[in-house]
Amino acid sequence: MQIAIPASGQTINDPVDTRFGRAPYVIIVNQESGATTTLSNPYAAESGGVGPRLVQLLVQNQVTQLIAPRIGGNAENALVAAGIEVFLFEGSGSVSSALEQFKAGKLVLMIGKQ
Amino acid sequence: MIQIAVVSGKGGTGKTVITGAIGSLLSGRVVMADCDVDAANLALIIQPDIDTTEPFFGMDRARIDTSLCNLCETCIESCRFDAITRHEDYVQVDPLQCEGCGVCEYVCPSHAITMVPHTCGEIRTGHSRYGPFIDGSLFPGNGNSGLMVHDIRKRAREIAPDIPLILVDGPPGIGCPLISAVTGCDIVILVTEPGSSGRHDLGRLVTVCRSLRSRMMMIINKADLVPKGTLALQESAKEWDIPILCEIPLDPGITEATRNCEPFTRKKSQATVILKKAVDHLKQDLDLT
Amino acid sequence: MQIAIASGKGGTGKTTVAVNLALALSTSHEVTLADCDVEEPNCHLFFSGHPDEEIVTNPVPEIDTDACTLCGTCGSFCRYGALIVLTDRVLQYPQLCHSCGGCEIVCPTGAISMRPEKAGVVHISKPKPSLSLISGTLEEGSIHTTTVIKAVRRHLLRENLVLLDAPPGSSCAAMETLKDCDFCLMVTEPTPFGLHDLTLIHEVTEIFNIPTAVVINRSDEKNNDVDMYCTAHNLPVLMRIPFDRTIALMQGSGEIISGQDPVWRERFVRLGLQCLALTGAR
Repeated sequence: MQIAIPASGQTINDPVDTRFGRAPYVIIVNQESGATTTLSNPYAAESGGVGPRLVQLLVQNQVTQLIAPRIGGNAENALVAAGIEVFLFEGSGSVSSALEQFKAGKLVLMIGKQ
Repeated sequence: MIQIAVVSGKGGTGKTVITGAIGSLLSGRVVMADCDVDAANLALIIQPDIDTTEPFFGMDRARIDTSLCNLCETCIESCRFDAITRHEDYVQVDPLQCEGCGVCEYVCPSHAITMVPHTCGEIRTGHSRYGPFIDGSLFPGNGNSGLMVHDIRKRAREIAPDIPLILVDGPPGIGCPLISAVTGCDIVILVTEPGSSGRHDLGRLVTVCRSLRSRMMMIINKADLVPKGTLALQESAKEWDIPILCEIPLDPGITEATRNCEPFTRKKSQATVILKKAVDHLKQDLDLT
Repeated sequence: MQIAIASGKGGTGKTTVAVNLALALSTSHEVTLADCDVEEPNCHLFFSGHPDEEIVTNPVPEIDTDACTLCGTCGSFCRYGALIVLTDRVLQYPQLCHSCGGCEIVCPTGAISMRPEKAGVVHISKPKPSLSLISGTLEEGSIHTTTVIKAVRRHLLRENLVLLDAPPGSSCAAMETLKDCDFCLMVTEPTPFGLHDLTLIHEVTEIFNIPTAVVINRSDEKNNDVDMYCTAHNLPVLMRIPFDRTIALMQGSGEIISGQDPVWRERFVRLGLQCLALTGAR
C-alpha cells in the first residue's frame, strides 16, 4: 500500500502543504517497507486543472491512499473515480507527524468506503 | 487561517469600498488581497506603501524559431485560436490570441516551436496602516486572471502567517477569476444593490458559489435607493437561505471618503455604525474576538 | 459602423448609456444593440419580447472506450487538466477544456473525436422595428467567455449601426469586443476609481487605435481629476449625467429614461450623432 502526502518541502520533516493540487512536493510512503519517495509536483505552478492532473500522477505511482487538508471539487471527483482513499488532516505539522496520526487511526476518512 | 472573499457579480455595487472599510475595521489582524486583477482598485482606498513588485507569468506561449521554420503552415492549420499568422517570409504568434495549448509545438515537423513563459502582469506586496497588502494587475488583453488570482491568494497566505484573516476583494463576473477567488474561502460576502440588474446577476453568482460549497452572507448596499428592490433582495436572500449581514444606506460620508481615498469607516456616519456592528457580528461568528 | 460602450470598471452606467443610446438612435437609424457583457448581460432587462435562442458550443473530446487503450498520452498532453487517465477509465472535465483539439491529434489509436459542449446562448430579438437586440449569456460555470462574444459578433452586420455593450475591464473579453470597433465611448464616473479604470480602458483603445470619447456619469462637478485627464489626453467629454434619484429609480425598475423623457431622448440622440461625426460617418 502506498500513501501520499502533499508537502511544502522534500523530506518527511517538512510541513504538510495546505493545498493538494499546488503543493510543491508529494511524498509517497510505502507502508510495508517504510520507504519514501519524493515527487516534485510538475503542476504546482500551472494555471488550471492541477488537482485532477496530480491525481493522475498518483495513480501512475500506484498510490491508494492520501492524507490531505483540503481537496478541490475537481480533484475530489478524480480521487473518487481512481478509488483513492483520502484522510483529512486539519492541523498543521510535519509529514511524519501526519503519518503517525494516520497510523494511530486518528485521521478521519473523507473520501472512500468506511 | 480564515479566508473571506467579498464579491458582487456585477460591478459598481461598492464592493471595493466595502472591502476597504471591513479591512480597516479588522486593522492589525487582516491581510488584504485585491484579486480584482482587471481593475485593481483597493490600493486607492487603502493607500499602501509598496515593498515589492514582481512579474507574473501566465500560461506558456508558443515561440517560433524562424531559423528552423520551413513555412509549411502545419501550425496555422492546427491552431484553434487563430493565433498564428503567415507573413511574407515568416510566421508569427499573436501572444494575445495564444492560449498556450502546445498543439503547434507538437505538430511542427521541424521542431521550430517551443512553449516559453510569458509575462502577463505584475504582483505587488506592501503594507498599509491596517496591515499587509497584496494586489495584482494584468497587462491589457491578457487572460489567465484565474491563475493570477490564485497566485495572489497564495502570497497572501505566505506574507504574514501569524495574521489570522485574509480578506479578498474579488473580481466581478462569474467566470474563471471569480471561481479562483472564491474556492476554499470560509465565507463569501455578496455585496449587492437593489435594482433589477443587481438581482439578476446575483442569482447567477449564487449558483456558482453554491456549486463551490461556499458559505454566503449578503450586504445590501444603497439599500434605501430603490425600496422595492431591497424588498425583493430580502425575499431572494430568504429563498436562497443566505443571511443578510447588514443593509447600508446611501450615505454622503461614503462618497466623501472615497473621493478622499480612505475607508469611510475612519469617520463616524450612519454607514460606519452599521458596518461596524456587522463586522463585530462576523468576528464573533469566526471566533476572532 | 460599430461603436463600443466600455468602462474600465463595472457599475459606471455603461449599460444605461448603451440602452438609451440604442433607443434614441433607433428613431433615425437601423440599430443593433449587442450585449457582449456575457458574464453579466443586462441589456435585455430593459426590453420585452420573446427572443429566438441560439446555443453556443465549443468542441470538447469524446472518447471511444473500445478504441482507447488507456495509454495516458492525452492526459499528459492536456495543459488544462481536462482529461485524466486512470487505470480503468478516462475522466473528463469539460469545464476545464479550452477546445484546442490537442488530445484528438495526439491520441495514437484515434479514440478521440470532438463533440459540442454548451458554452452559452445568444438571444436575438427585435424590440422595435428599427432596433435589434443580440444578447450573449455565458453558461454558469463555463470559462468560454470569448467563445460566446464571438458568437454574438457573428450576428452583427457591417452595414447596420451596431452598439456593443462591452464587458468591464481590460481582459481578453473586453479586447475581443473592442478589436473590430470603429469607435469607443468610455463611460466613467468622477471618483478615484473611475479615473484609474478610465486609464486602463483608454490603454486598450490605444492598442487597437480606436478613436474615443467620454461620458461622465454621476457628475456633479466636484472632482476634476477625470476632466483633467480627458483634457490632457484630448478626449472629448460628450455627456455628463448628474446623480439623480429619479434616474436611479427608473434604471432600477427596468425603465429607459430616454423612452420616458423627451429631454433625455434629445440628449442621447445628440450624443449618438456626435459619436458618428467623430468616426467620420453620419
